[in-house]
Amino acid sequence: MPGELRITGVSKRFPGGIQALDDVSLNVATGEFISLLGPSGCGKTTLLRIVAGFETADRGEITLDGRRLDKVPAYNRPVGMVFQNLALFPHMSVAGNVAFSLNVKRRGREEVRQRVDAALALVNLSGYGPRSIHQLSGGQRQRVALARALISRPDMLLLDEPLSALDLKLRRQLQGELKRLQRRTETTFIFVTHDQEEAMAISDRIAVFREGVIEQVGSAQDIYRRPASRFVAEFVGETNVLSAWRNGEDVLLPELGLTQRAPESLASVTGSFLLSIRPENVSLAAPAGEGLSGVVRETEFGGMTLRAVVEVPGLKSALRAAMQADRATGIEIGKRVSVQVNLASAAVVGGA
Amino acid sequence: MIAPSGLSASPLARLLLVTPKALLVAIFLFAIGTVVVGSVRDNDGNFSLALYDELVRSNTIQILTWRTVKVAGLTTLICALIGYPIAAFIANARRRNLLLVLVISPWLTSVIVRTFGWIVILGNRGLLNNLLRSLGITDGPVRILFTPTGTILGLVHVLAPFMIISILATLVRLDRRLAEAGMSLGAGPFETFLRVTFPLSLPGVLSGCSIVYLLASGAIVTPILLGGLRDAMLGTQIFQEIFALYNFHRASALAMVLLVTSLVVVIPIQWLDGRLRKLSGA
Repeated sequence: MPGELRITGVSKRFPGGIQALDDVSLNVATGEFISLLGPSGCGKTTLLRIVAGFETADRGEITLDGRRLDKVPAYNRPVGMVFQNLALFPHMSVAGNVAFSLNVKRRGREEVRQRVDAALALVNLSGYGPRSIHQLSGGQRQRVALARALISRPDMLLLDEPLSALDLKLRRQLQGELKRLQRRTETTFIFVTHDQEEAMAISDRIAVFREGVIEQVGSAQDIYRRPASRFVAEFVGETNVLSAWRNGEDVLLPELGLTQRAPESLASVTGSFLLSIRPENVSLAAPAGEGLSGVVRETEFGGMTLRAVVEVPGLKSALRAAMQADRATGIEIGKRVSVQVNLASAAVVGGA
Repeated sequence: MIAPSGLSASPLARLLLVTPKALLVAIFLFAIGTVVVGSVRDNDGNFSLALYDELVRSNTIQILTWRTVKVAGLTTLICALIGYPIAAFIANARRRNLLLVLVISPWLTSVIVRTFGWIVILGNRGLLNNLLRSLGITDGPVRILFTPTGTILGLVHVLAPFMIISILATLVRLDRRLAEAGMSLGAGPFETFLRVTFPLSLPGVLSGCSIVYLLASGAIVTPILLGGLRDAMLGTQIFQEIFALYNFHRASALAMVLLVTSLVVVIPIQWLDGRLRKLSGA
């Protein structure tokens, strides 16, 4: 199976001096579903467009299955693309759109018909061929764009935030379909998104971008549990970033006035550093007893979980906590509660 | 009349908006009505279809009409052929506004001056013929001035900007990603143009054709000065009937012929244009 992409040292500066990409390297395995995640303007779309052939890199090398892609024009790359606004051809029917790449290759009429039917069936749009693009719903257009890009069996599919225009429920549903489609076609998918939940939900691996640089590459769990930087910790999921320092066997959290025995995961850390502590590792109990306590300022009931924001004296930003909802009795706005911090799964996200 | 959305126009505001439009429509209808009525009168003011009878029989009128359709049609075709590449070039150029000023520069000089410029170039002892002779390509002068060719040249010069701007307007509005989608699906630049960009820009071409055809078929100054009086067109003939022969009724009848032939050409173009625009969701 082809579809192995190697990006080595790619840089791109736009006229006007914006450094869109700065020495970016990334390897994507065959059949992998990787997301490029980052806030807008971080370079993720630029990288996708360079891979597609719509932009050229100033420096660096891109190979697909060992062959240099850089000099190959966009229309000769074995790469499909789904655009942010889908870019369906408005003057063609659904079948006309899907058949486009086969018609370009001058395939026979019977072959085109069969493959269009198969491609439409793949995205659950059988029988929609004669319809006009304007008669379709947002989700249906999405699937037409997928069928159009996949019909010529590209080695790799690039997706540029294709779900961003859809409402949440439909987005969830299409995320699932995308994932199944990717497994069934065994095609490498590179998915650009600014939505960290979306990236975590569908990808095998995530590359987190920030200002033209990849901050971290890893599975959703890796990135969530062991963020490589403060930026990644705060961008992917919610977190509390606290300054800490090491004192012998202990870890001190001066903002909270806490001293705790260093867990094994922090055994090798010395000096002062920053800790990312996820909300689920901050536990609250009512009523407040001895030790650290704070006042609940906000609560958010999410069915299975309850999220709370607690104001703790000495801490500039409030502390975020999350717990199972059925264990959250007495956690109400305005109440004073006791706060416990579990450092076992805290991650070091830089020196202080 | 379109009221600004979000504001529910009061009855008074509506009345104020409708009045000027009604006035325009009334004046327009009055003018057309006068021409229609004038065309079915004889010189004593009595009802008569004699003029139309003459028009139908007259060989010269048929020649005149046919020549008008031919000159206007060729002008439109040439405008489209040279206008499209220019519009496409400007649409992709960085200094779009500067190029646009160059395109409309023919409109910055008066019709008379511009047309005399062509006389200087095209005349028997003009620049073009001198050049051809000195290069030994021709012996005698090539007759361009005072032929339909001269008229067409002059008309293309004035009317091409309408075509270019009309095509440019659709090209600029076209989503660049559509062309990129074509490329990502394996179509090279030329094939992408044929399958995507060109079909989607056809409404602009058709609008341009309507405008250019209408203006060319009713043109007066350029055909008189560059085409001469011998190869008259409907527009120049109407001008003659009014200002040389004072035959207003005949001028009216000729105007009706011009109106009808123009509608016969332009209405199908407009219909197709509307269909295409609806199809491409513009």
